[in-house]
Amino acid sequence: MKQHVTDPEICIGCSACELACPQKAIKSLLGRYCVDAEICQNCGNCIEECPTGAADCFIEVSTYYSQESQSEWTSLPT
Amino acid sequence: MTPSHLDTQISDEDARLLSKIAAGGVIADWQETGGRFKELATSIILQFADSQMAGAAGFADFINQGTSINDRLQISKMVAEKMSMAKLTYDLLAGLNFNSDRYIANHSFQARVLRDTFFGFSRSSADKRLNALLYPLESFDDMLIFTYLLAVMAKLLVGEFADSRFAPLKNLAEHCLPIESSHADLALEMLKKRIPQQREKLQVSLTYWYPRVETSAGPPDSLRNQWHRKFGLKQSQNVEIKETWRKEVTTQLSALEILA
Repeated sequence: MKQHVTDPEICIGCSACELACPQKAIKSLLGRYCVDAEICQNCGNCIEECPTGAADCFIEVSTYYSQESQSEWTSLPT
Repeated sequence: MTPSHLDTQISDEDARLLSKIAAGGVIADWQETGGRFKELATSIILQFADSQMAGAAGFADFINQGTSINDRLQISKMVAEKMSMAKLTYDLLAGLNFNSDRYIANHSFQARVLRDTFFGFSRSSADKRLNALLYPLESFDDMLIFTYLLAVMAKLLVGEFADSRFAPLKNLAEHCLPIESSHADLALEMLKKRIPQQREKLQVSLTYWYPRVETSAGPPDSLRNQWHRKFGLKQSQNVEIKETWRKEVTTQLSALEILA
């Protein structure tokens, strides 16, 4: 299955995605903007507002990564 | 739709920056900035860098269509300068933990849409290039008209950044401004030589490119432009830039007896 995340290597931490999310599914943890897979409705508002394209990122997963786990990433998990 | 990021309330960090800028202050680096400023400045910076990349990718195909060795050298120099300006521009984002190599690898700057497409002001690309750089070039003469129109526009936009209150952007723009001006001059000189034999073809290209490049000034009454001016990233309204551009290109092209 796919999980919507932000790409840590091109996210500049501007908070545009957090402000754009109508579900409040994105929050900043340790300065990283992380998407809660249980709340995200894939509306795409964050992708539209993101200035670098970091929010336009979906990865294949077997179980969802928590926001806490995402906050420790320095690059996308392989 | 949720309200745009730009519609949200002014935060304390926004207020602090706005107050500093209103008092004539200069923002020295990213450390001084907040979320809204970062989003606005990054969009400008990526638009310029991505446009340089897309321009270089498009022009490179026409280097060997120059009719003389000198023309080929001049076009290849322009491509190299665009790549160099793009690199310097992406480097501005290094302070934000931005991996420009990864960003560049994820985008296809050679990609173009069908010739008859017209997007107006709507965004339609994964990268942030100006819409004018999404349309395909058809011939060497077509490339010259496009280069001239867009380089004049770029000169005006970079001129805005050169007066920016964000020091990194201002420094970059001061370096790029004479280069962009030289690209407009180069295209105009080449056009002058080709007008006698290619007037009709150049006129067709001008009719095609004029409205597509004109939108690069941005839409009128733009909320984003209002914020750019509040934060000292730009000084002029989009309509003012468009009008300055229109005057310059129509004056110079009328002298060549082709009409926008």
